[in-house]
Parts: sequence; C-alpha cells; structure tokens
Amino acid sequence: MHAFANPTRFLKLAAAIQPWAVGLCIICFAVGLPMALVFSPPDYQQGDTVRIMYIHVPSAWMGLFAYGVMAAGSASYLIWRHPVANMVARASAPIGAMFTALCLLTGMLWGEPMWGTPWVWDARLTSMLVLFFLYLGYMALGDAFDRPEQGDKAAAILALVGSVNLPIIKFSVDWWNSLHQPSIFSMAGVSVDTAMLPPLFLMVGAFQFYYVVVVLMRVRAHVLAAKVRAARLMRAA
Amino acid sequence: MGGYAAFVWPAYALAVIGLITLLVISRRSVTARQAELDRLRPPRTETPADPQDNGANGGEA
Repeated sequence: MHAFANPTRFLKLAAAIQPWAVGLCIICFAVGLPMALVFSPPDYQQGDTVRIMYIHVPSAWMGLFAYGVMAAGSASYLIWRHPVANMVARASAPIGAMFTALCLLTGMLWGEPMWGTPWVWDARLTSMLVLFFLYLGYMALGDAFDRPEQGDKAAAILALVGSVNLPIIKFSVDWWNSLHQPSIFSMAGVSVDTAMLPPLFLMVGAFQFYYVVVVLMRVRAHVLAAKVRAARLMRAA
Repeated sequence: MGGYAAFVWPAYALAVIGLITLLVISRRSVTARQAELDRLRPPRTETPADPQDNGANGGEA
C-alpha cells in the first residue's frame, strides 16, 4: 500500500489497469443495458418502473462506495501524509457526487408513480441528500484555501467527520419507519425476484468499472496539476 | 414500458448525461493540464552520449 504513495509508481499501475477497466465497463453496459431495459421481467406490483432500479440502486451503492474511498484516502493522508491517497480522495468526490445526484433524481422519478410524490423527508432520502451536500462541502472546502495543503487537510477532516453518515444511510430503513423499500440484501434473504439480479449486478459492475476509469483519470489530472505548480515555482525562482 | 415510459426513459437519459459529462470533463482536465505542463517546461535539448560524436555518423546518441 505504502509503495503506491509514489505518484510515478501509482500512475504506472493505473496505466496498466485502465484499458482493462474500460473494456470491462463497456462489456457490462453492453450486456447489462438490454437486460435491464428489455429482457428482465416487470415487477408484479411496480410494473416496468422497476427498470429504474437498475440505475437507482447501483448509483446509490456507488455514492456510498465513493465516499468510503474518500474517507479512507483522507484518513491515509492525515495519518501517513500519502499524497496519492489524498489525490484518490479528491478524485473520488465529483464521481461520488454525480452518482449520489443520479440516485436522488432517479429515486424521484421512481417515487412519483409509486408513492404519488417525488420526495418525502424520510430518513433514507434525507440522509442521501446529506451525503450529496457532504460531497459538495468537501469539494468546496478543498479548493477554498490559497495554500492547497490547507485545503487538503480541512477537506480530509470533513470527509472523516461526514463518514458517520454512511451507516445512517445503510440502516435508515431498519432503524426508522420509512416509505423507502428495505434493502435488497438482508439477513432475511433477497427482496427482489432472482431474475432481476443478473442485470442489477451487471449494471453495478458497469458503474464500478466506470468509477475506476474516471478516478484514475482524475488522479492523473491531480498529479499533473502538482507538476504544473512545481514548474511555476521553478520558473518564478 | 407499461405506461411508465415518461419515468423510465428520463432516468436512463439522466444516467447517460451524468456519466458522459463527467467522463468528458475529466478527460479535458487531463489534456488541459498536460498542455499547460508542456508549455511551462522548457523543451529538452538532445545531448549526444559521446562528446566526440557531432552527429556526422548518423546522429545516433
């Protein structure tokens, strides 16, 4: 793990991983989308609106996953001063924010025909909205200082404090009475038809590989930005 | 779509827009920073491996 604190070594590994991630992402989308839109069965209660699940659920999982990566990278940066860990955290934030926004918007599109309203101030929906604001706050705070190190440190602390929201999101449907349906996977078993699981996992895979592709791209952009800052200092000296 | 096309298709359209927009922004960020770095860094001058080699033998350093 510590070996990849070196940006050059990390970028070499990233260059090897990226083509595979691109290929796997395309394959998952190419197989998963037709299954999600055409071949998977409609729900016996919700009809074809259940097809929104194949976007909504992977987006929600990716919103949580990206925040987990952000929190782990921030902890690693604060404890060991790993520059790459901070870059991974900073690179994860916009991707996580996009997935969280996608989860909220697709949830509204699903809620309107099924609940009769696009939004309720329910524990699950509200905690997801808080997650979205945490992402926005993290990105704003990271860029709010003249010295980038100060912004990185402040944003890392916010990411760690905000991670308390992750178990609240996960268990909100168990802890409080909620209009939102319970988790798909629980100790009681799977709450959806097993025919819906292959397209769901393919779409999760597609989103996961998309995340890998974009996060590596954004880490590369952060490394280049650091080199630009160093080159500017060399010129000014 | 069983009467729900007005909800299902916009959900997928939002996903496509979000995924593509972020991918394009990220790609542009890399190319812009690479271009800025290339502009800031002085061009590298080729130095022959052998000081006696003036390039007359084919210029192979």
